[in-house]
Order: sequence, then structure tokens, then C-alpha cells
Amino acid sequence: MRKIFFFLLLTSIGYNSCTDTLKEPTGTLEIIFKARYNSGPLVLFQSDSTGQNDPITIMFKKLDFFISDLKGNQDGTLKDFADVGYISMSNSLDSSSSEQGISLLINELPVGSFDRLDMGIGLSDAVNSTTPGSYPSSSPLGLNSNYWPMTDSYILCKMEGDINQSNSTTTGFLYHGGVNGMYQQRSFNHSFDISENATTTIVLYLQAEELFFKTGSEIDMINDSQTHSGQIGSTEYNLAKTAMENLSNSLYIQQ
Amino acid sequence: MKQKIAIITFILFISIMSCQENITTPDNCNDMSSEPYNPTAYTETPPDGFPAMEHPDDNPITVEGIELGRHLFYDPILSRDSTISCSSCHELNKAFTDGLALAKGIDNLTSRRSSMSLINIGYSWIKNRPYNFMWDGRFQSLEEQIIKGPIEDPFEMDNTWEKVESDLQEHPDYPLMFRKAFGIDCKEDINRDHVSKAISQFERTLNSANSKYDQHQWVPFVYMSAEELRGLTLFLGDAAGSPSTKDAECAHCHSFSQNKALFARNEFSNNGLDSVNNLNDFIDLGYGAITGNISENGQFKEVTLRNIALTAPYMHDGRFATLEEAVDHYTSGGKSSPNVASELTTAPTITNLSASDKADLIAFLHALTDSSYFNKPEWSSPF
Ligand code: HEC
Ligand code: HEC
Repeated sequence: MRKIFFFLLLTSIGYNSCTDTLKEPTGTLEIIFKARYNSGPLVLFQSDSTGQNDPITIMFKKLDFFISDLKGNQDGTLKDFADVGYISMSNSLDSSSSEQGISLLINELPVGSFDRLDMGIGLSDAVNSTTPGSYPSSSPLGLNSNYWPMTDSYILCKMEGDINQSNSTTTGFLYHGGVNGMYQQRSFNHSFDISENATTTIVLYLQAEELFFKTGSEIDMINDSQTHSGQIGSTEYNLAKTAMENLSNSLYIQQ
Repeated sequence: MKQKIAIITFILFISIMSCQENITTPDNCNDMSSEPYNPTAYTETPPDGFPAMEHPDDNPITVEGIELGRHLFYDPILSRDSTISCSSCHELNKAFTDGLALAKGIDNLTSRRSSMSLINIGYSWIKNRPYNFMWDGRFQSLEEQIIKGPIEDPFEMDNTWEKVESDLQEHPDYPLMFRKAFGIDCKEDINRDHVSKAISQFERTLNSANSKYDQHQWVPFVYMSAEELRGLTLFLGDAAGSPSTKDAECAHCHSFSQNKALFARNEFSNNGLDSVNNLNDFIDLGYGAITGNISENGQFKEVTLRNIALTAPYMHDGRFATLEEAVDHYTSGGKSSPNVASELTTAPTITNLSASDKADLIAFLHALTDSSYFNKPEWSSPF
């Protein structure tokens, strides 16, 4: 299982200030992201039937996205958990790895009881105004592959693959959500405790079929097969925004 | 029984002896500890458009390390018959490539792949990623590339590390250079780690970005020509903002940002060179052979397009002799296989480029050539 490293900038600043007094007890939160397709694990490079007239099948090749501003609600106060993480489903090449999911460990969290987990999908406009040159290569923000100079934006999500149509043609799809205004925020009502020197696990499911085929927010994958976001208000922009919204709404917390 | 005890006492005796000897000078030490060891820390000023260079924590760059590394890079002593050096396949004024489709090593043997540019090579290191260097990414670090790469490769230098180490230990000049760079006490301490660290340090100084593109960005009143600018727009494709009727879309993979202008994403992908139905049918499995994931078969490193006009022939097997051929490959739509990169399968207008569009694109690629470093003494052979 791949461990994703986090910037604990905010939390570590918070903690540095009290290190010269007593060290507060801390615990670890593990968030596991599991991509699913209908009721089974989502396996990259494997076709799934869409249940639609067209396209008939879909094969994902890439499903990656930024998350940011993770916070926990404790007695009405929001505690900062982590700034930025990058979730890549690239390990989901067979059902068992997909079933295991992608684990994200956030260390040194304040102990206590929480009743809500807040998370941004994508990057806030403020973080999005920075550039890869300002970060080390060990950070997802430090990689050119996650950045688009033309729109001065990180690529907030990447959904790529192929679809098969009823006329038996295979075509690619690529939805890259970038640029400001696409940041999505989710609050998951969920009770959990962070305990001293222990790891608490939360599982988030990503229902991949809902990215394109959920009634009311469908994407016409045949006619609108790709977007690199583009200028605010353009067709490309609106398509990317729908993709980002669908991504955000496709996340479910395991109760 | 008696014999055993005798042997044990003998061993004890020897070890006591050698312990004592260590305090002074062991027999097997050609001592250099009286020679000075004052390494000078080296700080590289990155070219405009580049962030600070990152390097592994256990190999800080020093002036003495770089100098040793430069000697080793140009010295055929590393090869079995002293005919091949790193520079045989990585020539300075060809952006450290060799002008051949497939590299040529010892005894005129042909390697299976094409040589790769080393300009700005330190920037293709992504710290926490296991696969960074070579067309197939098989080495994590520059240090690992040197230890496990060319020296013992039967098609390249066909040497053994044991021989390299003893040749260097017995050399009239090298031991002192190793002392100055790494502070070793005995000539016999010279080992492959020192060799790989020194060459890597030298490689991390090979940074230059002074092409017309760079000058356009950073030097007042220097501009690319209209042709080159049109080429840039095609290169960016609809990454430029609005979809157009013709896009080359190169920048998705050969990507750059203002302060990290690498012209490489340094990921691995299949850019449609070969037509296969089954992912196991690629002649060269590339990245997939290293990761063990079939879906990554036929993927290769998305290399930089900086200095691309200096590094013909092109691709991992040198199949394209000219930039024109390489561009034609993309603008013809490429060949199909199950894992062709989505950036290419969803580029519907890439095939609309006219002859003059292609000329513009190629003009832009030429604007990425930096000849300002040619024959730079610090990067040239010390011999
Ligand atoms: C016989 C020719 C030959 C010699 C000698 C040689 N190389 Fe190379 N080099 C190549 C080839 C070919 C590749 C690509 C090989 C592959 O992908 O399998 C390469 C790749 C590399 C790379 C990876 C670049 C990248 O972008 O990932 C580095 C670094 C490198 N060589 C450094 C060296 C050093 C240092 C030496 C001397 C110790 C050396 N080479 C000797 C031919 C050679
Ligand atoms: C999907 C990502 C992708 C896109 C888009 C892309 N390339 Fe590449 N490019 C690669 C990869 C991967 C390689 C190395 C392939 C190999 O050798 O097998 C490469 C290699 C090259 C090379 C040869 C480099 C060398 O040192 O031999 C040239 C030239 C090149 N690309 C130009 C372009 C141009 C021009 C465009 C736009 C028309 C473009 N590329 C678009 C991924 C891409």
C-alpha cells in the first residue's frame, strides 16, 4: 500500500510553539481512499460496462487528484490536520491492490473526539497561485507534471482512459480540472477519536461511475471527450468544473 | 582438539595484532592522512527559470568532488581495456549525447538504446520516487546509475568494480584527489561509492539554460521570432487556453513552468511509437519491465526537449534521424496500442498541422538550443 506524504506545515507550526513547554499527546489519522466501480473495486486498464446506451464500456487509465485543507471539527472548533495531499490511484492495477486503496497518514494530530472531517478537493485559489519551482520534488506541488503554466494553475484532477461506443469505435477521454474557481469543499459528518500514540482509520470510497454517469450530472463522453479547463466561462472550463464537482460528490465516507 | 585451540589462539593473536596496528598504520594502508582535507562547499547558482538543485543528503557537492568527478567522467580507466569513458557516449557539445541511433561501447558493440542528454540532468531526480533515470527509469539516483550502469555493462565498459577500484588505488594522481574530495586516509579506501559520488557531483553542475526561449523570458529586448512564437503556441496546444483547430499539444508531457522550465514532465508514457494489440508484444518493454506492471509496458521516460536539435537521432532506439521525422510521428497521430497516453489519444487536431505549422513547431524546438555552454572549460576534458 502506498503511503502518501503530507505537508504538515500548519500543524507543525502549531506544535513547534509548544515544544518548549510540555509536549502535547498526539495521535495519527489514516485516511484510506478506495476507488470503486459500482459494487466492485475500480481496476485501471480493465473495461467496465457503463449501463448506458453509449458509451458501452469504460476503461480508466488514470485517476489522480489533489486534496487540501483537511480539518477536523472538535467541539465546534476546526483543527488543522494537513495542507495538501495527492491521491493517485495508479496502484489499482488489480482488484486486490484497488481493494487495499491508497493510504494517507497524518501524524501528530491533537488527541480528542471529532464529529466531522472537512476536506477540499483540488487546491484553494491561494495555493493554486504558487508554482512548482517553490517546492521540493518530494512534494506533489513541486512537480511540473501536476502544473499547467498556460493557465497558471495546478492540474487539480486527472481522469483519463478509453471508452467503447456502440458503433465499436474506441476513443480516449481526458478530463483535467485546473484553474481557479474549481476548488470543491466537502464536509463528512463522522465521529472519530484521535488517541495518543494510536492510529485511527477512516475509509473514503470514490464511486467512479458517478464521475460521468450519475443522473443529473452526466458528462457526454462521446461529444465532450476532453478538457484541459481553459478560460473561465468557456465550454472547456464548464466541462472541467462539472468533472471536479462530480469528483467531489463521488466521495463517500464509510460509517 | 589441540589443533582447534591452537587455531583459535592464533586467530585471537592475529586480531589483537591488527587491532594494535590500526592505532598506528595498518600494513595494508598507503597512508595519505598527512595530506590536507579541506573540502570547499559548492553552491550552484541555478539558471534563470530553474529552482535550487536537490541532491541526496549523503552526497554534498564540493569543489574537490566535482573536479574528481570530471576527471573520472572523461577517463577511459573505467573501462576494461581503457578505451571507453563516459564521454565516449556523452559528448559535451552534443548536449552529452553521441550522435548515434544506438550507443556504441567497448569492442564496437552496439547497445540496445540511444544515449541520453546530461544537461540539467540533476533536475530529473524526483526525491521520493523509485524510478528516475534511463529510458526505462531503472535507477533511482545518479549515484545508483553509475554503480549499476555502464561500468559492468558488457556492451558499454565491460569492466569490474574490483578492477576499477584497484586501478584507481594504484594510480599516481587519483588517490590524492579522492583524499581531497572524501577525506579517506588510505589509498586502499577508494571504492565505488566514492567514484559514483564524485561523478554525480560533476553531473549536478551540468546546468545551463540560455536558449533563445530563455532569453525571451529573462533578457530584456530579446524576443523569439514570429515563426518561433507560432511554434510555441502549437507546442502548448489547447493548454494555451482556448481550443483551436490545430494543436500539437507537446507541452502536456514536455512540460515546463516559469520557474521550473524543464520541458519534461519526467514521467513515463507511451507516445505511440509502436503498434501492438497486446501489451506484452512491445519489442522493448521499457518502464513496465522495471515496475512489473503490464500496463506500463512500452512506456519510456518523457525526456527534456531542451537542446533537442543537438541530440539526434531521436527516441529510446534512435529510430528518427531528424526532428522533422519526430514531429511527423506525432502529427500523423502515432501508432495505436492499448496504453497510448491519453494526452495523445484525445488530441483530435494534432493531425491538422500543415507543412508550415510543422516548420513553425520545429523552429520553436530549435529555440530551445543552448550553445552558450559549448566547450565550457569546467565541463570539458581535463586531459
Ligand atoms: C556505451 C555508451 C555509454 C557509456 C560509456 C556511458 N553511457 Fe550513459 N547512457 C548511455 C545510454 C545508451 C543510456 C540510456 C540507456 C538505457 O535507457 O538503458 C545512458 C543513460 C545515462 C544516464 C541517464 C540519463 C537520464 O536522463 O535518465 C546517465 C545519468 C548516464 N547515462 C551517465 C553516464 C555516466 C556517468 C557514464 C560513465 C560512468 C556513462 N553514462 C557511460 C550510453 C552510455
Ligand atoms: C504523452 C506524452 C507526450 C507528448 C504529448 C509528446 N511527447 Fe515527445 N516524448 C514522449 C516520450 C515518452 C518520449 C520518449 C519516447 C521513447 O523514446 O520511447 C518522447 C520523446 C520525444 C522526442 C525525442 C527525445 C530524444 O531525446 O530522443 C522528441 C523530439 C519529442 N518527444 C518531441 C515531441 C513533440 C514535438 C511533441 C508535440 C508534437 C511531443 N513530443 C509530444 C512523450 C510525449
